[in-house]
Amino acid sequence: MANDARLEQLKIEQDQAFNRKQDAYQRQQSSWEKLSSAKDKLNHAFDAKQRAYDDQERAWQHSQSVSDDNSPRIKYLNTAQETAYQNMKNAFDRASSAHDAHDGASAKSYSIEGHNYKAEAQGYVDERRRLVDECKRVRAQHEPYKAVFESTKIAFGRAKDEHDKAKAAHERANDDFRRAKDDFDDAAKAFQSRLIELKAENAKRKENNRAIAAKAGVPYQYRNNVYVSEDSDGTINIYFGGLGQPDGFGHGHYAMNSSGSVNYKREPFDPHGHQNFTDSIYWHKEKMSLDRDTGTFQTDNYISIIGDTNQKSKAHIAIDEDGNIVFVRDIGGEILYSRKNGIGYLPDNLDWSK
Amino acid sequence: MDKNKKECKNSELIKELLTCIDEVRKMTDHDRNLMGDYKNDTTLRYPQTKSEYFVDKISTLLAHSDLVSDENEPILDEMLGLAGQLDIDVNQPEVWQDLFKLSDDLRVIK
Repeated sequence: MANDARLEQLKIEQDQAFNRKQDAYQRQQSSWEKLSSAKDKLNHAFDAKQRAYDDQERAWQHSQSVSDDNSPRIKYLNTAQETAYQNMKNAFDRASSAHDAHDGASAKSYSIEGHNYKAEAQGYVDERRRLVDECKRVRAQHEPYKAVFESTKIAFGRAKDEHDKAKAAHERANDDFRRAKDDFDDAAKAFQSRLIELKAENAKRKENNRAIAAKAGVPYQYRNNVYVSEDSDGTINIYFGGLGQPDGFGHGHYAMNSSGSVNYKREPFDPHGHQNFTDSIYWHKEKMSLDRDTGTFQTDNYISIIGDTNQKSKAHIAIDEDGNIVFVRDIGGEILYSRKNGIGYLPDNLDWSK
Repeated sequence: MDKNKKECKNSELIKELLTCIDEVRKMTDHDRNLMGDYKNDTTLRYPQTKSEYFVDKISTLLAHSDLVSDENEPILDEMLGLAGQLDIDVNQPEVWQDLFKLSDDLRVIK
């Protein structure tokens, strides 16, 4: 995939959005753990409150039960005590009247009767006090349960506050995560969209390159993997068959001019050289001349690409009578060797394609 | 290319060739024989001097055309031989003079 600044930017944005999403996810997880912990505490507080309530309720019911059981008897004892008291009062009043009437026997009899009523009333009072004390004792036993229940109620309230705060924090974290996820999804979508676009462009470019390679006559097996470049003069260069990549080491190279004529053909791992130029673009002129300094003849070879006669880019290679190369100037005007002028040297690995 | 067109083109090329040679003829001996310092500066690319420029053009006109062929003037063939020498080294006054003479001959013939 060719480098694409937009794709690279979208990749950076996608990665950043992913990181933000991951951070938001971690925060969400952390808040969830806090909420879970708060929920556990809330549940424990609720259970404790319920247990305390039940204990308190049982104590209260017992207290009520005792109170309910004793209440009718207490009411009866109050009435009976009042009746005995009135009877006592009447007996003592009559004893007083009989005493005033000097009726000693009656006075004594009424007095005994009064004392009996007094004892009866006292008996009622004693029993009532015992019953009331029992009610008070049972009620007092309920108080600690009530206090415990109140305490668990407060603890539950605190746990609920903590839980509600944790829940709110978790919901915020959830919202943040959802937003981060949406952002990431958008970024991933934009990246994928551009990727698909580029793939389509690449596929189109590959198809175009394949068509160019086919037009140039590149061997079939290479056509799906060629590198194509265009020179400023419209010449299209097609590279293929290199190691690792089309224009890698040992690549083949075809050149096709703007008219569609292939004027250079080199198959993969074939040597460079003018033999690769097709006749349609390559001209060569050979001419003998006399080197007046040495008095020997030499053969001048002029080689260049076909163009108009004003072109100045031509290679010049001169060979003396003995077959020795005496002058080499490449097509770019670089004098590689001139025996006469003492310029350069004749390299062993001269690139004759130049 | 038919014969008439070819003759017409050759005529134009010869005219251009003679113009180039005349330009060199007008130059001073010093300028005409001045070659680029390729020995001391390997980054230089031919042609560097005005004289070399014209030699390059003359040799190209002669080499890259149908002017010099079996059926054409032996003068042009001889001129190409001289141009080949000058294309290697412009500092050859005698070769230049011979080239001027040939151009005069060519002008008379044409």
